Amino acid sequence: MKKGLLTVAAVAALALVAGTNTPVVAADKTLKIELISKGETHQFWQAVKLGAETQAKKMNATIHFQGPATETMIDKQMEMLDAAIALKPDAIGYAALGTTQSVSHLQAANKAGIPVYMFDTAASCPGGVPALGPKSDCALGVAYTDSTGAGQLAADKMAALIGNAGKVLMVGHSQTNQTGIDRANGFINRIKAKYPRIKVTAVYSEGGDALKAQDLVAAALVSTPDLRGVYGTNEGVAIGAGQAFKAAGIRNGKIKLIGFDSGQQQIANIKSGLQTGAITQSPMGIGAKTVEALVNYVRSGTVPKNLIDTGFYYYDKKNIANPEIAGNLYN
Amino acid sequence: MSDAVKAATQSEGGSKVSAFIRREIGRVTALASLVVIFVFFTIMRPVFASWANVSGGILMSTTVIGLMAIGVTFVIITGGIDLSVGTALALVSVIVGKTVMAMHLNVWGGILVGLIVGTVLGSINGILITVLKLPPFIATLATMKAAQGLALITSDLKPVLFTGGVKGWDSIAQGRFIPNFPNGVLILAVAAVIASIILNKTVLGRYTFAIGSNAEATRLSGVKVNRWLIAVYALCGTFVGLAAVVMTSRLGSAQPDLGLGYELEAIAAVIIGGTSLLGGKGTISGTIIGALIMSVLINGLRILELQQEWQYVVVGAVILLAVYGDNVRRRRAGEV
Repeated sequence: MKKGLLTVAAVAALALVAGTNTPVVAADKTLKIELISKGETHQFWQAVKLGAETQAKKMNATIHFQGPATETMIDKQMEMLDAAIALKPDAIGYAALGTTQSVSHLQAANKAGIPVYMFDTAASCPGGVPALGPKSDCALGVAYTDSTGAGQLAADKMAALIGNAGKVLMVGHSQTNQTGIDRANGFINRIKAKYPRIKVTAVYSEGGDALKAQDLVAAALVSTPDLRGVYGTNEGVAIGAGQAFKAAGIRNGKIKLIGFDSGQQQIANIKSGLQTGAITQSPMGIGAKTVEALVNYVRSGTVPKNLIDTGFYYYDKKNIANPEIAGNLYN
Repeated sequence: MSDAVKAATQSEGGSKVSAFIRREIGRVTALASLVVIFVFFTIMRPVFASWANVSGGILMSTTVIGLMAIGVTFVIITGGIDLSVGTALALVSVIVGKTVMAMHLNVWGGILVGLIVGTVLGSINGILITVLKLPPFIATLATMKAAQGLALITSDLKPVLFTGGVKGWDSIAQGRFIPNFPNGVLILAVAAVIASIILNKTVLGRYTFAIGSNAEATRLSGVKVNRWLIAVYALCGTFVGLAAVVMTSRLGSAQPDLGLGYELEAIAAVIIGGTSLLGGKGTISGTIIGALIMSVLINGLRILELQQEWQYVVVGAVILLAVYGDNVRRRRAGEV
């Protein structure tokens, strides 16, 4: 009851702030944006940073990008967030490590009149993602990869590769983690809905265990001699599937293999033809869309969508070197 | 083997054959189960028994867990346990990968690094258990977590790829020294023979059984129990090191986040193979049969395309049956 009253009060206060202080800033002023990431050194975050920097330059803004050394340092990230708020930047971008701990900090940023947009991972804001927006006391929205859509893209690519007919194996990396579930079900449901002549079997190598994935695919190659394609939902599974192909002497795309993400081994396998292709998320897109949403909001009051899909790509031997792909891949 | 069983067999004055069956009943039942399961899957889908599936599917998938289980057998016979072998597997493989790539080692150098690092990790367990007098369960639970963390730190959270620089790394497990027989399986077979000899023909083997039967009596008879225990855990580590080498060869890379949970599969193989968790009793051949039962089950259920969730249930049921059967036998023999 008390919490409810507080929320009402907070919303009212926020409406007051928004009413008296419409967020419109002249285009010739360089905006300062603080981006608090979940990490800094990993190549994934470097790509997020690059995307954010490129977008900021286009829109006359500067970014300050930082994150803790490891993804377990929640306290450290909270300190960074507090320090960023104290700097009174024009806007803050935040990738949630402490999904619950960070909520009160984000509310403090809002109270200080600093708009927040989340990226990669949302904090557990009151009301969840649907409640995000200018009226939320937590954040305007969140930008991340639509994993279901990515799984659907894998299904379309697989269907095209095998001529819309035949047996395929889907090797998932988790039946409990939402990203894993979405990548798997996006694929399976798309095949069932759109490609009636393709028969899909689903197995899971929990935790993306490459060795178990190898055993699973090796058994599938025996049980299904007319297998046409394998789809693996993360790097470990794709590596295991590739090794099973190698051991069974399946080369040059006799059976198609679509993986997920990148990494040294997968990239090498795609270049050598052992693996057909893979889906990659767009960490550069995550950075760019976050900055774009914040700048537009601060400068012209354009309210961003509370959920922005940051995009994903299918890549193979042919387009692996294209700048829009290469920037999103990591070793 | 306990005196009770000896007495029982002698008092009946049965033939040598019946004495043998009595003594070996655990292993015989396990082997019989393996044959029954194999025949069942072959009847259901003959392709199951094809050499391609037996060598590339079943035997190859037994290599890593099988090698670990051989090491764990020694530890369990002493009445101890090693929970760290799964994450130690990851740590050794990452260290081997990093060392081989940084120092441009050849295949033999890489194998040696794996064996040494594995042995060192094992002896750390032994020292924690004997010098600090920690219960094996706690000591190896701690090293299990530590090894997991170190594997992630050493690898910088990324798989370590054995690129073209290491010629022949693939062949360690996947080459064919004997035609149509993967090297990984050959390594497992040779390791099993060596382990059997150590367990049955050497002082280390004798003391392994003695410590497991009665550590206090062994100590009172003048044996330096601590020293031999450290050796047993170190030996376990050596086999884990070898398993790590075979695994990286199978995968073409070292995966830092892989291995947690493998310790339970290795322990299950040992128990299914008739080695007692109470210590003092066990065989290497039983362990290999145990590991094979599990991989035959997993592979066979996949070939039959049974829904995967049921696979876990079936494997769980088999472990229960194996241990229950062992209990019943020992109660009849008057051991318990």
